[in-house]
Amino acid sequence: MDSSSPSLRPTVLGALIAIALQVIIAPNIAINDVVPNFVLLFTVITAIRYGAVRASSVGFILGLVYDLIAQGPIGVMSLVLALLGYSAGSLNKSTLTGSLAVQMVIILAAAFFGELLHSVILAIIGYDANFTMSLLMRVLPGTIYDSVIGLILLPLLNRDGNAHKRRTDSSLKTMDPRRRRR
Amino acid sequence: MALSPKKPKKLSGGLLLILFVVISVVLMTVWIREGVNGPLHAVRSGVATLTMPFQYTGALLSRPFQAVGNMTTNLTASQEDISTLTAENEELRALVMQLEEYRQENERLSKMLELADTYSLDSTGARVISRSADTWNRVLTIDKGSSLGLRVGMPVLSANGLLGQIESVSQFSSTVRLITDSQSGVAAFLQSSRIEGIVTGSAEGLVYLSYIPLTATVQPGDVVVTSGAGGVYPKGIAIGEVVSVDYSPTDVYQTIIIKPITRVSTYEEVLVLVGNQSEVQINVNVQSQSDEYASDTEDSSSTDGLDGNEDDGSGAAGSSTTGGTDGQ
Repeated sequence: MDSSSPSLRPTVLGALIAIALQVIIAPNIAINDVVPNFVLLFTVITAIRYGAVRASSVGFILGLVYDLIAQGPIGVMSLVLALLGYSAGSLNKSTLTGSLAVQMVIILAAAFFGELLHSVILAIIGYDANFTMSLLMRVLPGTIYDSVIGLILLPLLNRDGNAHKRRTDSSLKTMDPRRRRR
Repeated sequence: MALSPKKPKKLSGGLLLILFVVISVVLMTVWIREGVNGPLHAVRSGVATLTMPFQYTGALLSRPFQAVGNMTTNLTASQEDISTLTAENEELRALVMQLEEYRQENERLSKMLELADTYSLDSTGARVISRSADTWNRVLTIDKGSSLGLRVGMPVLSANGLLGQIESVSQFSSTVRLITDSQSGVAAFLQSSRIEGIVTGSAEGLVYLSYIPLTATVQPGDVVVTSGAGGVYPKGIAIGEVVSVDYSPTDVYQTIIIKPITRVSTYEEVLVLVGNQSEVQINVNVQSQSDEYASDTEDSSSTDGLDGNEDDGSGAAGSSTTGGTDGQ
């Protein structure tokens, strides 16, 4: 791995937490059969933080795990999340690192397009016949549920990220030879 | 001139994405084309075995919250609800008594006709450990699997009626696809008119009775039960009752919505039908009968078989079959 690229550890840890939440928590907090998609949220957050390449890789792997845990055809969510991670991560850097509101809009849009693409693929392969009903009863409620959870998670992650950044900055300052000389 | 070691080239983002897309499409194709014993199904079964302890933990953690939720719902039940339920309970008690009478009469008549009792089914109880991990499938995970003899296709019941069918089995757990799922289909008929159709789930959560012709008279409140056609579900298991009937003159079939008798979200334990008891008993009795012939006992008349049948109620169906075989 390139020394300039950010550490993989937080991504791996976050991915494991996302899978654990999907397996343990998600089935028990379903509202009217609508289950939150933690792996989709984590992929989008990875895209915001680390960009397209890492997000598409994380999306593909997490999507594959999700496909194995769920009961649908294998390969659908891995395809959706790889595309979603890449698309979200390819946005302008200033947009990705913008305010919390902008990031929330990105999550909302990603949740909608992710669920929509999933629905379209299932309709194409003949798994779900009634596309209109799927859109109304699964895509839209799923988008809202994912966005609400994103609204809770994103400020927490940002706060944690900022604290980490402050710690790193202060330790760099103490190591600065010009400061030491003074 | 010194040669510097070449650094391995990194895949660009676009190439990586194309690779992921290709792999995903290949996996989807293989999944669609392979059977239930294919390699991807086997991998999923392995993953189900691995995740079972975590799902169980989730179910344990959520149980107190669900209990609180149920308690709150019960506490907020109005006096009117309680009165309605009490009246309904009394009606059902009376109906159960009446049905018990019919059941006993049916049993006696079946014995006389030497028919195997299709309703005495072997079942095993199982606990629900998890529900669907995604929005697109209405499934349950139960805590029994292939190690206890469960197989793909076995029907799953609640105390009231049909819940679904086992779709995949791992060693210690099984996944049940519910009748409310859009991928589910159950051969059924209307109890009153015996007109057959297919009960299917849907994305919107409604359950439809399809393929009922316009000429058939269907009323809200009509009971829908399994028809036994196809051989997956035994005949006569309650599914639900008709809540709405709609059609236009240009339609070929009526649009019938039914309300399932079981409320899936409230169940923690289910019954899996593992086989037909009568079939098992027939096999046992045929075996014992051949043993009797082998030991060359002189008096094994059909009358003895029927006598034994009357003495032992538990082996009724099997004994009567033995008697019948003797008679033949």
